[in-house]
Amino acid sequence: MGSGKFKSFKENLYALEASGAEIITVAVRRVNISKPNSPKLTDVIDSKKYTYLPNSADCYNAEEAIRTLKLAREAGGWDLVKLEVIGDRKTLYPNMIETLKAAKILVKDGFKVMAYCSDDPLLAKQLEDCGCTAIMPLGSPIGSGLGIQNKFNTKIIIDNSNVPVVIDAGVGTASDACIAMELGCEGVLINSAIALANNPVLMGNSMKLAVESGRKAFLSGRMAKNKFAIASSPNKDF
Amino acid sequence: MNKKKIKVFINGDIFSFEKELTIEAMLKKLKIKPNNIAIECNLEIISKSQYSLFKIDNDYKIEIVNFIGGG
Repeated sequence: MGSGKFKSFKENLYALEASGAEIITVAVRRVNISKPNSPKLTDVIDSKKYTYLPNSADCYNAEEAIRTLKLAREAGGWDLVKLEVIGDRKTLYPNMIETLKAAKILVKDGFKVMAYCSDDPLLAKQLEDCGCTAIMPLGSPIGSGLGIQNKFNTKIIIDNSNVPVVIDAGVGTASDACIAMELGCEGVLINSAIALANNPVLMGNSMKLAVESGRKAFLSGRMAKNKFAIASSPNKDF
Repeated sequence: MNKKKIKVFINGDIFSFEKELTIEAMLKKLKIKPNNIAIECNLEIISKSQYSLFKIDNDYKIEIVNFIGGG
């Protein structure tokens, strides 16, 4: 789960607890020198209980992303990171050329890279080939809440992948998370849908149920789709 | 400027300190706790084990970062 856009750290924590999520993403930014004692996210959300996943949000090339994630590793001591290299301010689509460049360098430097990426199956495969720990295709633009716009591509990425696929970006409500899991994703990364809900804690819990439900549906193997009706009751024999 | 003083840039703002100040002493002056932060001096990350040894100097560009909410 993400940690942006919440009204308070407490609200973030309660929503996190309700969601059952085990990983929380965070951004790396300058310390507020004029208010050194202001409350910090790390004071409220226990890094021993939840896995912190620092991101490289707002980085627009490989160099910036690598710098940010190296600072994150020094700050937290964790080598699991969320690589995102943004290509465009309006859509926040990833710059895949720079993402691949950064991923190669980070993996070589010992990072475990979870990479935010486009839903292009070939590029997603290239991320896996260069050693990424998880592939995180967008469902739709960051913060849009438009759900998974290209289920077919997402499915191809999942079928081709030997590492976990996590839908990152676009989940707007519980059904979107459920669809992602039904497709075979190993997880979803959700921020805005929970933080911007009228009741973030309740939405966090609904995401938990959706993810569990979708995962169980995937594991149980859904029935085949048929073009015409097939009666559930036997034909009448009287 | 007083010869015993140095001027450094921290997170984009100008600060004045006495010479020979270590990172550890600088953090104390700024009242910043050293946990969950990272420090970069002139684009080089300074590891926590160096905070008590590394001395800042005139015109150093220092970045002090921590974690905030993000997606």
